[in-house]
Amino acid sequence: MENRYNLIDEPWIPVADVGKVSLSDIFSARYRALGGNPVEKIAVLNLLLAIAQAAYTPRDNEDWESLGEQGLSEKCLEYLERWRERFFLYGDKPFLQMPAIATARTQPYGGVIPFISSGNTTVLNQSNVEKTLEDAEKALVLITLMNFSLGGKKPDNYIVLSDSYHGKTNDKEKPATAKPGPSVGSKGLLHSFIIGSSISQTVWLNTFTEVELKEVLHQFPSGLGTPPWQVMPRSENCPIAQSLSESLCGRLVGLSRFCLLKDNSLHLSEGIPSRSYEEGVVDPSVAMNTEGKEIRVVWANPDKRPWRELSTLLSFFQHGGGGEYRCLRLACHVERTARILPQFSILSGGLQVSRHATGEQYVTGTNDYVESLVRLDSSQLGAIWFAQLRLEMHLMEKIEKMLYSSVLRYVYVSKNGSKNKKIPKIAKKIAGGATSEFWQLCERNFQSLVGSCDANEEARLARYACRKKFADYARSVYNQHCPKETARQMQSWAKNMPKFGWYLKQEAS
Amino acid sequence: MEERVKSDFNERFVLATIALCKKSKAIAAKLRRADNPNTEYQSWEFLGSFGVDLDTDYKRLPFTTIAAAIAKAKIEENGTLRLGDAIVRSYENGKDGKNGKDSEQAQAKLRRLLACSETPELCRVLRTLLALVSSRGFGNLDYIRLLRQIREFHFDSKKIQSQWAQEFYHSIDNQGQLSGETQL
Repeated sequence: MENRYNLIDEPWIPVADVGKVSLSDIFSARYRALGGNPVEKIAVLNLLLAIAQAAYTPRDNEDWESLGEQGLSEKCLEYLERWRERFFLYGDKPFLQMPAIATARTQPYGGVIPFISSGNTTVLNQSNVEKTLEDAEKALVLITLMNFSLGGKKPDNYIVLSDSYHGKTNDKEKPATAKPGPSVGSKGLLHSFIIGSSISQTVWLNTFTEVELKEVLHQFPSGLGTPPWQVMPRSENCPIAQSLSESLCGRLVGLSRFCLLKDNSLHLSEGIPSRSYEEGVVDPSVAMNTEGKEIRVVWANPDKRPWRELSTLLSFFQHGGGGEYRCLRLACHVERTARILPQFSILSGGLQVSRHATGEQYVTGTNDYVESLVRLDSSQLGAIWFAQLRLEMHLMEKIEKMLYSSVLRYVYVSKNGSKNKKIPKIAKKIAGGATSEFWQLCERNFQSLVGSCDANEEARLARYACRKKFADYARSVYNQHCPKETARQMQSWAKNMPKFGWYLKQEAS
Repeated sequence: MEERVKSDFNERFVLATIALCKKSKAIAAKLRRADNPNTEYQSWEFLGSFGVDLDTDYKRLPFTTIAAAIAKAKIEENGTLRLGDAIVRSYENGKDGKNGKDSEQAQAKLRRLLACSETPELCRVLRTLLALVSSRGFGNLDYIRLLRQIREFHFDSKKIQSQWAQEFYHSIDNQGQLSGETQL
């Protein structure tokens, strides 16, 4: 079979302001940021990181610093040149695909892309309709499928490449529902990365050193490992597959689905099983809390946009704090980055999904992609800054609660008048809508709040200005949701009005 | 340079009325009758001397209402109590033993105030309400603020009513600003 469409040369990676570029372009020019939806961004970034780690893993931070962005890019280009033969999308050894799976049932591309209607799903608008994909888009689907595949019956689990493997069958010896990809989890995990001024710098900033691999990443017993394109596994549980499931490279670009691309469809079956967060293993970009009874992770949640999780993600700044979430990528690299760059950003994103009791995952009307980019000033970062940020977030949550209960009481009392009746659902819905609008308004000023969490006088004044804005937002949301046209409405409006004097007083003097 | 802040018309009117009532019992007696449509004419001389437009209802009635209230309350100086607050206090420790804010009667009085749509109607309601507040011993109303509110009522009744409602429920911020006044 002819080798064609080499990912190193063909443009397929979406880049902001530019369009599509190739893998070699990414490492030879300075592009500002990746494009596409948050999941595509994360999947491509993970691929780039796997390439970088395989090309050169710095010994320690000094080696990493002396290597620099330019040095790492050169190593990556050399590496790509060395493994050029393995980056063909079609051919004898197609990139991240298993020719042996060709007997599996085919699935249209729309079946593996979220938000595309397949089967009997309702088409709401044109974006839900499946389109014919070009090779560039197929490559992107393939990359996202490796880690972000949704659980369900679509992969053909009748096909098992290893006779001794029982992971694809259920208790009744029937083909089981495929498990979700490792980067999705049951509800859709939230991933966070450090973002520099260019894509190649971002890759450099997120690279782990050998020291870190030994000390921190104990989740991966095989250490860095070999990326799957270098040596593809033969089956679901061959030694190569086992080593992939226990290594960092195998986590960054896992093979959670075995597939083979065809013209308008792809052969699809469940691939190498990866350990889940319940077993204490997550992507380094996911925040996990292992200190409680149950292991908990931060999920992508459209109702709680990722910027609101910043104080959770950065909790490593707090010294001696227990019961905290820890995102390995940020914990290892934020302080290192702050020493070198005056400013950098943190990208958090993911896709929330719903899960049926059978294990089938799908995207409902309320599920969505989430993404936030927060810029941090290196000179400010530290325990004091973090403590202040955390306090501010805590107070904003308090404001939200006050707003919620105020609107709830307004709607409830003005509709019912009696206190003994059960609170109607509509009241909760209206109150929920109000708080969601409050957070939307606050998002616009969050960056200034992050910049004003210092201990000096100037920061205090800036913080006061932020607080005034947030209180104003809450009041205006309250006024919008609680009309005061009639006498009774006005009475209820004044009676339940939330008071924020305490919030402003703290910073006023 | 004049250092003293120039007082506004409302303030001058209230202070002059208080001073006049203290000085002359005859004028005080005439002003007491100013809130009754039949005897209101007796106060016109005083209002006219102040330049109040006697032809137009919404311009005249705020002054007759306030002048009558001041004359009846026999106050020495302008107070600080706001109208909404005064209604609450009038019903505190009442028969139902409830807090003023929770008293059904107080709430009914407030709602009547909030249901007014025009200045003449408002002044009719205020006549009895001010008499009640005064009879309960709360003569120390801020008449200047009240006069300003009644005069503005014709132009923006919702704003003034929301102020009274907030005064009633004490939803006042630390900066002395009513919470609902800040809008985007």
